[in-house]
Amino acid sequence: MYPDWLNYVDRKRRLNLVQILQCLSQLQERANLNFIVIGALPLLMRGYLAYKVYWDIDLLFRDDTGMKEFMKKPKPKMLRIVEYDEALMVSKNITSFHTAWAFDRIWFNVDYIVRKGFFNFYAHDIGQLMPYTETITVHNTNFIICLYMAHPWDIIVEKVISPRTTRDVELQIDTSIDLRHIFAVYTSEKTNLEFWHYIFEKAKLLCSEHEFKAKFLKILSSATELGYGHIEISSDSIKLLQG
Amino acid sequence: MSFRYEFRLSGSGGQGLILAGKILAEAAAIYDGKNATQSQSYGPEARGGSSRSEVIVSDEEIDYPKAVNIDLLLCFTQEACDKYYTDVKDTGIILVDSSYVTNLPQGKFKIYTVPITDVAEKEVGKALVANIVALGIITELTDIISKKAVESAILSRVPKGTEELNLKAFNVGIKKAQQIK
Repeated sequence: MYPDWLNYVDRKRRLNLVQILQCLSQLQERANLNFIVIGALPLLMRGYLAYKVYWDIDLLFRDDTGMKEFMKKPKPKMLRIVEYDEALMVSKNITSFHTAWAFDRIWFNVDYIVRKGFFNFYAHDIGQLMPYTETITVHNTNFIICLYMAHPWDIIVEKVISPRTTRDVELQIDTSIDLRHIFAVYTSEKTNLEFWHYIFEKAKLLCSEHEFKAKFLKILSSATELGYGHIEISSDSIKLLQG
Repeated sequence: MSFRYEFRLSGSGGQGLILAGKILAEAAAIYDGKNATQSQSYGPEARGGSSRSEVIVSDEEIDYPKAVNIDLLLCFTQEACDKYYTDVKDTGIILVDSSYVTNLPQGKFKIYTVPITDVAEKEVGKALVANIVALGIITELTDIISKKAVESAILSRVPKGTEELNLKAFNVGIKKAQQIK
Protein backbone atom coordinates (compact mmCIF):
# COMPACT_ATOMS: atom_id res chain seq x y z
CA MET A 1 0.00 0.00 0.00
CA TYR A 2 1.17 3.48 -0.86
CA PRO A 3 -0.61 6.16 1.19
CA ASP A 4 -1.89 9.32 -0.45
CA TRP A 5 0.04 11.59 1.92
CA LEU A 6 3.33 10.29 0.58
CA ASN A 7 2.56 12.07 -2.69
CA TYR A 8 3.19 15.33 -0.84
CA VAL A 9 6.73 14.31 0.02
CA ASP A 10 9.42 15.04 -2.55
CA ARG A 11 9.83 11.86 -4.63
CA LYS A 12 13.54 11.56 -3.84
CA ARG A 13 12.89 11.76 -0.08
CA ARG A 14 10.02 9.25 0.26
CA LEU A 15 12.06 6.13 0.90
CA ASN A 16 14.22 7.87 3.49
CA LEU A 17 11.21 9.28 5.32
CA VAL A 18 9.51 5.90 5.51
CA GLN A 19 12.72 4.26 6.72
CA ILE A 20 13.02 6.88 9.46
CA LEU A 21 9.38 6.47 10.50
CA GLN A 22 9.88 2.72 10.76
CA CYS A 23 13.00 3.27 12.82
CA LEU A 24 11.16 5.69 15.14
CA SER A 25 8.34 3.15 15.49
CA GLN A 26 10.88 0.65 16.75
CA LEU A 27 12.35 3.16 19.18
CA GLN A 28 8.98 3.92 20.80
CA GLU A 29 7.81 1.81 23.75
CA ARG A 30 4.12 1.89 24.54
CA ALA A 31 4.66 0.80 28.14
CA ASN A 32 7.09 3.59 28.75
CA LEU A 33 6.22 6.18 26.14
CA ASN A 34 9.08 8.63 26.00
CA PHE A 35 8.27 10.69 22.91
CA ILE A 36 5.54 11.35 20.40
CA VAL A 37 5.57 12.93 16.96
CA ILE A 38 4.11 16.43 16.86
CA GLY A 39 4.10 19.30 14.33
CA ALA A 40 3.11 19.15 10.70
CA LEU A 41 3.82 15.48 10.02
CA PRO A 42 0.81 14.08 11.94
CA LEU A 43 -1.39 16.59 10.09
CA LEU A 44 0.05 15.45 6.78
CA MET A 45 -0.27 11.75 7.57
CA ARG A 46 -3.86 12.19 8.78
CA GLY A 47 -4.79 13.87 5.51
CA TYR A 48 -5.22 17.49 6.60
CA LEU A 49 -2.36 18.95 4.54
CA ALA A 50 -2.11 18.51 0.80
CA TYR A 51 0.87 20.42 -0.53
CA LYS A 52 4.46 19.53 -1.23
CA VAL A 53 7.12 21.10 0.97
CA TYR A 54 10.17 19.97 2.93
CA TRP A 55 8.65 18.26 5.98
CA ASP A 56 10.50 17.98 9.25
CA ILE A 57 9.98 15.40 11.97
CA ASP A 58 9.37 16.92 15.39
CA LEU A 59 9.71 14.64 18.40
CA LEU A 60 8.27 15.86 21.68
CA PHE A 61 9.89 14.22 24.71
CA ARG A 62 8.53 13.75 28.18
CA ASP A 63 11.47 15.63 29.72
CA ASP A 64 15.17 16.45 29.30
CA THR A 65 16.19 13.11 30.76
CA GLY A 66 14.00 11.27 28.28
CA MET A 67 15.55 13.23 25.43
CA LYS A 68 19.08 12.40 26.56
CA GLU A 69 18.19 8.72 26.97
CA PHE A 70 16.80 8.68 23.44
CA MET A 71 19.99 10.25 22.09
CA LYS A 72 22.07 7.50 23.68
CA LYS A 73 19.75 4.65 22.65
CA PRO A 74 21.24 2.25 20.09
CA LYS A 75 19.93 2.84 16.59
CA PRO A 76 20.29 0.93 13.31
CA LYS A 77 23.87 0.72 12.05
CA MET A 78 22.89 2.06 8.65
CA LEU A 79 21.38 5.20 10.15
CA ARG A 80 23.55 8.32 10.16
CA ILE A 81 22.67 11.17 12.49
CA VAL A 82 24.31 14.57 12.16
CA GLU A 83 23.83 17.01 15.01
CA TYR A 84 23.24 20.58 13.89
CA ASP A 85 23.44 22.07 17.39
CA GLU A 86 26.60 21.92 19.44
CA ALA A 87 24.60 21.50 22.64
CA LEU A 88 20.99 21.37 23.82
CA MET A 89 19.31 24.72 23.13
CA VAL A 90 17.74 25.60 26.45
CA SER A 91 15.36 28.50 27.04
CA LYS A 92 12.77 29.19 29.72
CA ASN A 93 10.12 26.71 28.59
CA ILE A 94 11.66 24.88 25.65
CA THR A 95 14.67 22.64 25.21
CA SER A 96 15.48 21.68 21.65
CA PHE A 97 18.10 19.87 19.64
CA HIS A 98 18.27 19.84 15.85
CA THR A 99 19.54 16.85 13.89
CA ALA A 100 19.47 15.36 10.41
CA TRP A 101 18.89 11.64 9.82
CA ALA A 102 19.75 9.61 6.75
CA PHE A 103 19.91 5.97 5.75
CA ASP A 104 21.75 6.92 2.60
CA ARG A 105 22.58 10.47 1.54
CA ILE A 106 19.10 11.96 1.59
CA TRP A 107 18.70 13.89 4.82
CA PHE A 108 15.64 14.50 6.92
CA ASN A 109 15.50 17.06 9.71
CA VAL A 110 14.55 15.46 13.02
CA ASP A 111 14.09 17.96 15.84
CA TYR A 112 14.02 16.89 19.49
CA ILE A 113 11.87 19.08 21.70
CA VAL A 114 10.90 19.31 25.36
CA ARG A 115 8.17 21.83 26.23
CA LYS A 116 7.14 22.21 29.81
CA GLY A 117 3.69 20.68 30.34
CA PHE A 118 3.05 19.73 26.73
CA PHE A 119 3.95 16.04 26.74
CA ASN A 120 1.18 15.43 29.27
CA PHE A 121 -1.15 17.57 27.20
CA TYR A 122 -0.64 15.38 24.13
CA ALA A 123 -0.32 12.05 25.93
CA HIS A 124 -2.41 12.67 29.05
CA ASP A 125 -4.33 9.45 28.52
CA ILE A 126 -1.89 6.99 27.01
CA GLY A 127 -4.47 4.20 27.28
CA GLN A 128 -6.64 6.10 24.80
CA LEU A 129 -3.78 7.08 22.52
CA MET A 130 -3.87 4.97 19.38
CA PRO A 131 -0.72 4.61 17.29
CA TYR A 132 -0.74 5.42 13.61
CA THR A 133 -0.29 2.05 11.94
CA GLU A 134 0.35 1.40 8.31
CA THR A 135 2.45 -0.86 6.12
CA ILE A 136 3.98 1.13 3.31
CA THR A 137 5.60 -0.37 0.27
CA VAL A 138 8.33 1.66 -1.36
CA HIS A 139 10.64 0.23 -4.01
CA ASN A 140 9.11 -3.22 -3.41
CA THR A 141 10.05 -3.21 0.27
CA ASN A 142 7.49 -3.18 3.09
CA PHE A 143 7.96 -0.74 5.93
CA ILE A 144 5.89 -1.13 9.08
CA ILE A 145 4.89 2.09 10.77
CA CYS A 146 3.36 1.92 14.25
CA LEU A 147 3.93 5.34 15.68
CA TYR A 148 2.44 7.37 18.48
CA MET A 149 1.65 10.78 17.09
CA ALA A 150 -0.14 13.79 18.51
CA HIS A 151 -3.88 13.96 17.81
CA PRO A 152 -4.34 16.55 15.03
CA TRP A 153 -7.01 18.38 17.03
CA ASP A 154 -4.61 18.69 19.98
CA ILE A 155 -2.03 20.19 17.63
CA ILE A 156 -4.55 22.83 16.62
CA VAL A 157 -5.42 23.64 20.24
CA GLU A 158 -1.76 24.21 20.97
CA LYS A 159 -1.28 26.34 17.87
CA VAL A 160 -4.33 28.51 18.57
CA ILE A 161 -3.11 29.53 22.00
CA SER A 162 0.58 29.74 21.11
CA PRO A 163 2.13 33.19 21.66
CA ARG A 164 3.83 32.70 18.28
CA THR A 165 0.44 32.46 16.58
CA THR A 166 -0.85 35.52 18.47
CA ARG A 167 2.15 37.45 17.17
CA ASP A 168 1.67 36.14 13.62
CA VAL A 169 -1.95 37.31 13.68
CA GLU A 170 -1.06 40.73 15.09
CA LEU A 171 1.67 41.30 12.51
CA GLN A 172 -0.37 39.66 9.75
CA ILE A 173 2.40 37.25 8.84
CA ASP A 174 0.87 35.53 5.84
CA THR A 175 3.66 32.96 5.65
CA SER A 176 2.88 31.66 9.16
CA ILE A 177 3.05 27.88 9.10
CA ASP A 178 0.94 27.62 12.26
CA LEU A 179 -1.88 29.69 10.76
CA ARG A 180 -1.79 27.59 7.62
CA HIS A 181 -2.26 24.46 9.71
CA ILE A 182 -5.07 26.01 11.74
CA PHE A 183 -6.99 27.03 8.62
CA ALA A 184 -6.40 23.62 7.02
CA VAL A 185 -7.88 21.74 9.97
CA TYR A 186 -10.67 24.30 10.38
CA THR A 187 -11.65 23.84 6.72
CA SER A 188 -11.94 20.08 7.21
CA GLU A 189 -13.66 20.11 10.58
CA LYS A 190 -15.76 23.26 10.82
CA THR A 191 -19.08 21.44 10.57
CA ASN A 192 -18.00 18.61 12.86
CA LEU A 193 -19.55 19.24 16.30
CA GLU A 194 -17.39 16.53 17.82
CA PHE A 195 -14.34 18.59 16.81
CA TRP A 196 -15.63 21.72 18.54
CA HIS A 197 -16.60 19.85 21.68
CA TYR A 198 -13.21 18.13 21.77
CA ILE A 199 -11.10 21.24 21.34
CA PHE A 200 -13.08 23.28 23.87
CA GLU A 201 -12.61 20.55 26.47
CA LYS A 202 -8.95 19.93 25.63
CA ALA A 203 -8.05 23.61 25.64
CA LYS A 204 -9.00 23.73 29.33
CA LEU A 205 -5.79 21.82 30.06
CA LEU A 206 -3.79 24.78 28.78
CA CYS A 207 -5.86 27.90 29.40
CA SER A 208 -9.36 29.14 30.14
CA GLU A 209 -12.10 28.27 27.67
CA HIS A 210 -12.77 31.99 27.27
CA GLU A 211 -9.16 32.70 26.28
CA PHE A 212 -9.09 29.83 23.81
CA LYS A 213 -12.34 30.89 22.17
CA ALA A 214 -11.25 34.53 21.96
CA LYS A 215 -7.97 33.57 20.28
CA PHE A 216 -9.61 31.22 17.80
CA LEU A 217 -12.24 33.86 17.02
CA LYS A 218 -9.53 36.45 16.42
CA ILE A 219 -7.80 34.10 13.96
CA LEU A 220 -10.96 33.34 12.02
CA SER A 221 -12.01 37.00 12.00
CA SER A 222 -8.63 37.92 10.53
CA ALA A 223 -8.84 35.35 7.72
CA THR A 224 -8.89 37.89 4.91
CA GLU A 225 -5.98 39.96 6.28
CA LEU A 226 -3.98 36.77 6.72
CA GLY A 227 -4.53 35.66 3.12
CA TYR A 228 -7.29 33.13 3.82
CA GLY A 229 -10.21 35.18 2.51
CA HIS A 230 -11.07 32.31 0.17
CA ILE A 231 -11.99 30.10 3.12
CA GLU A 232 -15.60 30.42 4.16
CA ILE A 233 -15.90 31.14 7.86
CA SER A 234 -19.25 29.73 8.89
CA SER A 235 -21.59 31.74 11.08
CA ASP A 236 -22.06 28.60 13.21
CA SER A 237 -18.33 28.60 14.01
CA ILE A 238 -18.48 32.24 15.04
CA LYS A 239 -21.50 31.56 17.28
CA LEU A 240 -19.71 28.65 18.94
CA LEU A 241 -16.67 30.81 19.60
CA GLN A 242 -18.73 33.72 20.87
CA GLY A 243 -20.73 31.46 23.17
CA MET B 1 32.11 18.45 -12.56
CA SER B 2 29.86 18.33 -9.52
CA PHE B 3 29.06 21.37 -7.47
CA ARG B 4 28.11 22.04 -3.85
CA TYR B 5 26.87 25.49 -2.85
CA GLU B 6 26.34 26.57 0.75
CA PHE B 7 23.98 29.34 1.85
CA ARG B 8 23.73 30.67 5.40
CA LEU B 9 20.87 33.02 6.22
CA SER B 10 21.41 34.71 9.57
CA GLY B 11 19.73 37.27 11.73
CA SER B 12 17.30 37.23 14.60
CA GLY B 13 14.17 35.23 15.37
CA GLY B 14 10.99 36.46 13.72
CA GLN B 15 12.71 37.75 10.57
CA GLY B 16 11.50 34.79 8.52
CA LEU B 17 14.95 33.38 7.80
CA ILE B 18 14.05 29.79 8.60
CA LEU B 19 11.17 29.98 6.15
CA ALA B 20 13.43 31.62 3.55
CA GLY B 21 15.86 28.71 3.97
CA LYS B 22 13.09 26.19 3.51
CA ILE B 23 11.89 27.97 0.36
CA LEU B 24 15.41 27.93 -1.10
CA ALA B 25 15.83 24.21 -0.36
CA GLU B 26 12.38 23.36 -1.74
CA ALA B 27 13.05 25.42 -4.87
CA ALA B 28 16.32 23.61 -5.50
CA ALA B 29 15.09 20.10 -4.73
CA ILE B 30 11.41 19.97 -5.60
CA TYR B 31 11.29 22.39 -8.53
CA ASP B 32 14.84 22.38 -9.94
CA GLY B 33 15.53 18.66 -9.45
CA LYS B 34 18.77 19.22 -7.51
CA ASN B 35 19.63 17.87 -4.07
CA ALA B 36 19.27 20.12 -1.05
CA THR B 37 19.42 20.07 2.72
CA GLN B 38 18.14 22.77 5.03
CA SER B 39 18.94 23.18 8.68
CA GLN B 40 17.84 25.63 11.28
CA SER B 41 19.02 26.74 14.64
CA TYR B 42 17.86 29.35 17.05
CA GLY B 43 19.53 31.18 19.85
CA PRO B 44 18.21 30.94 23.40
CA GLU B 45 14.93 32.67 22.50
CA ALA B 46 13.27 31.65 19.25
CA ARG B 47 11.73 35.09 18.74
CA GLY B 48 14.15 37.95 19.09
CA GLY B 49 17.21 35.79 19.75
CA SER B 50 19.63 34.75 17.02
CA SER B 51 18.37 32.65 14.15
CA ARG B 52 20.23 30.81 11.43
CA SER B 53 19.24 28.69 8.51
CA GLU B 54 21.66 26.84 6.26
CA VAL B 55 20.93 25.44 2.85
CA ILE B 56 23.22 23.20 0.85
CA VAL B 57 22.49 22.66 -2.81
CA SER B 58 24.27 20.08 -4.91
CA ASP B 59 23.81 18.24 -8.17
CA GLU B 60 24.83 15.05 -6.37
CA GLU B 61 23.47 13.47 -3.20
CA ILE B 62 24.80 15.31 -0.16
CA ASP B 63 27.20 13.32 1.95
CA TYR B 64 27.44 15.81 4.83
CA PRO B 65 24.50 18.16 5.52
CA LYS B 66 26.26 20.85 7.58
CA ALA B 67 27.66 23.98 6.01
CA VAL B 68 31.44 24.23 6.38
CA ASN B 69 32.55 26.63 3.67
CA ILE B 70 29.96 29.31 3.05
CA ASP B 71 29.39 30.52 -0.52
CA LEU B 72 26.71 33.04 0.36
CA LEU B 73 26.08 34.62 3.73
CA LEU B 74 23.01 36.76 4.29
CA CYS B 75 23.14 38.96 7.39
CA PHE B 76 20.09 40.63 8.81
CA THR B 77 21.83 41.78 12.00
CA GLN B 78 25.25 43.21 12.85
CA GLU B 79 25.76 40.44 15.39
CA ALA B 80 25.22 37.74 12.75
CA CYS B 81 27.62 39.48 10.36
CA ASP B 82 30.35 39.77 12.98
CA LYS B 83 29.87 36.16 14.02
CA TYR B 84 29.76 34.42 10.65
CA TYR B 85 31.79 36.35 8.08
CA THR B 86 34.92 34.33 8.84
CA ASP B 87 33.18 31.19 7.55
CA VAL B 88 32.76 32.67 4.08
CA LYS B 89 35.00 31.44 1.26
CA ASP B 90 37.40 33.91 -0.39
CA THR B 91 35.32 33.55 -3.52
CA GLY B 92 32.06 33.85 -1.57
CA ILE B 93 29.44 36.55 -1.26
CA ILE B 94 28.16 38.43 1.76
CA LEU B 95 24.81 40.15 1.40
CA VAL B 96 23.93 42.48 4.25
CA ASP B 97 20.72 44.29 5.09
CA SER B 98 22.18 47.78 5.45
CA SER B 99 19.04 48.80 7.34
CA TYR B 100 20.67 46.96 10.28
CA VAL B 101 24.28 46.19 9.38
CA THR B 102 26.63 49.16 9.18
CA ASN B 103 30.06 47.82 10.07
CA LEU B 104 31.16 45.77 7.09
CA PRO B 105 33.70 42.96 7.46
CA GLN B 106 37.00 42.97 5.59
CA GLY B 107 38.04 40.06 3.41
CA LYS B 108 38.49 38.74 -0.10
CA PHE B 109 34.80 37.91 -0.45
CA LYS B 110 32.40 40.16 -2.32
CA ILE B 111 30.07 42.29 -0.22
CA TYR B 112 26.72 43.59 -1.39
CA THR B 113 24.81 46.05 0.75
CA VAL B 114 21.10 46.57 0.25
CA PRO B 115 18.68 48.17 2.72
CA ILE B 116 16.49 45.08 2.37
CA THR B 117 13.99 45.85 5.13
CA ASP B 118 13.57 49.47 3.98
CA VAL B 119 13.09 48.27 0.42
CA ALA B 120 10.43 45.81 1.56
CA GLU B 121 8.61 48.53 3.44
CA LYS B 122 8.84 51.26 0.80
CA GLU B 123 8.62 49.30 -2.43
CA VAL B 124 6.40 46.40 -1.41
CA GLY B 125 4.50 48.05 1.42
CA LYS B 126 5.33 45.53 4.14
CA ALA B 127 8.61 45.28 6.06
CA LEU B 128 7.78 41.68 6.98
CA VAL B 129 8.40 40.49 3.43
CA ALA B 130 12.06 41.46 3.71
CA ASN B 131 12.89 37.75 3.75
CA ILE B 132 11.22 37.28 0.36
CA VAL B 133 12.97 40.38 -1.05
CA ALA B 134 16.23 38.82 0.17
CA LEU B 135 15.37 35.60 -1.67
CA GLY B 136 15.00 37.58 -4.89
CA ILE B 137 18.40 39.21 -4.40
CA ILE B 138 20.07 35.90 -3.55
CA THR B 139 18.51 34.12 -6.52
CA GLU B 140 19.75 36.76 -8.95
CA LEU B 141 23.22 37.16 -7.42
CA THR B 142 24.05 33.47 -7.20
CA ASP B 143 22.28 31.98 -10.21
CA ILE B 144 22.29 28.58 -8.48
CA ILE B 145 18.54 28.06 -8.29
CA SER B 146 16.22 29.15 -11.10
CA LYS B 147 13.85 32.08 -10.60
CA LYS B 148 10.94 29.95 -11.71
CA ALA B 149 11.76 27.33 -9.07
CA VAL B 150 11.97 29.92 -6.30
CA GLU B 151 8.69 31.48 -7.44
CA SER B 152 7.02 28.07 -7.37
CA ALA B 153 8.40 27.35 -3.91
CA ILE B 154 7.17 30.73 -2.63
CA LEU B 155 3.71 30.07 -4.04
CA SER B 156 3.55 26.70 -2.35
CA ARG B 157 4.31 28.33 0.99
CA VAL B 158 1.88 31.27 1.01
CA PRO B 159 -1.92 31.42 1.15
CA LYS B 160 -3.79 32.22 -2.05
CA GLY B 161 -4.70 35.70 -0.85
CA THR B 162 -1.09 36.86 -0.58
CA GLU B 163 0.49 35.38 -3.68
CA GLU B 164 0.67 38.71 -5.49
CA LEU B 165 2.34 40.54 -2.60
CA ASN B 166 4.96 37.85 -2.10
CA LEU B 167 5.77 37.56 -5.80
CA LYS B 168 6.08 41.35 -5.93
CA ALA B 169 8.55 41.18 -3.04
CA PHE B 170 10.55 38.49 -4.83
CA ASN B 171 10.68 40.47 -8.08
CA VAL B 172 11.68 43.67 -6.27
CA GLY B 173 14.60 41.66 -4.87
CA ILE B 174 15.55 40.41 -8.34
CA LYS B 175 15.59 43.99 -9.67
CA LYS B 176 17.68 45.26 -6.77
CA ALA B 177 20.24 42.56 -7.46
CA GLN B 178 20.33 43.41 -11.16
CA GLN B 179 21.15 47.00 -10.21
CA ILE B 180 24.09 46.10 -7.98
CA LYS B 181 25.55 43.12 -9.85
